[in-house]
Amino acid sequence: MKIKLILLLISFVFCNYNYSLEDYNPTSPTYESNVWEPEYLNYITMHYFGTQN
Amino acid sequence: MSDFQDELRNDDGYENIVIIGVGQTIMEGANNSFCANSDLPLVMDPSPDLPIRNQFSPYYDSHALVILGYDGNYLGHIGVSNLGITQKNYIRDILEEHYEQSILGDLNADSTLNIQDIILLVNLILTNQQNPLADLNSDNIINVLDIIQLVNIILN
Repeated sequence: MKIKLILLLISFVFCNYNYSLEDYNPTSPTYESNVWEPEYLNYITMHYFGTQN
Repeated sequence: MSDFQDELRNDDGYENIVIIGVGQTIMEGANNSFCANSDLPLVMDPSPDLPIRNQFSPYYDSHALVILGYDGNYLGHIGVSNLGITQKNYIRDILEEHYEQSILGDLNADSTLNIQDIILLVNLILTNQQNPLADLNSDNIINVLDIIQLVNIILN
C-alpha cells in the first residue's frame, strides 16, 4: 500500500502532459493540423477549458 | 483570449507561446462560438470519456487556463472567466520566469544545433509541417535551402 502511494505521488509530481489532436477552428492558422504536437513543440502552451458540460 | 495572445506575442515579445482552446465534442454551440470569436486553435475532447480533461485533472475547470512548459510540465493554472489585470499578470509572471528565447534551427530545443536538428528539419519538410524555427533563410518556405543553411551553421 505504501509503495503504491509513493508511486502515485511520484507520478503526480513528475507528470508531463501531452496530446496531439486536430485543430477544428477554421479561422486558426493551424486549422486541420495537429496541435499541440507537433505544431507547437518548443512552445509554452496554455490550454483554455471553456464552458464545461 | 486571442487578443491576449496577440498582446503576449506582439507587445511582450513572447513569440513561442500559444493558447489552445479545449472544447468538447458534444458542445457544438460552445465550439462554434469559440471559432466565431477567436483565431486560436481549438481541439475536441472526445465525449463522454473526456481524456484531455482527465489528463489535466485536477487543474481544469470551467474557464480555466492551464499553463505548461516546453516539455509539457505544469507551470500554473488560473480561472480566466474574467481576464483582468490580476490574471494577465499571473500569466506574465510565469512566462517571465520560464520563457526561453528560441535559437533559430534548434528544433529539439536542446540549446545546441546538431545532427538531430537536421533530422527533424528533414522530417518537417517530408511531412510538410510548419515551424518558424525551421525557416533559417527567412523566406517563409521550409525546404532544402534551410537544410543547407543549417548544415553550414553546424559546420562553421
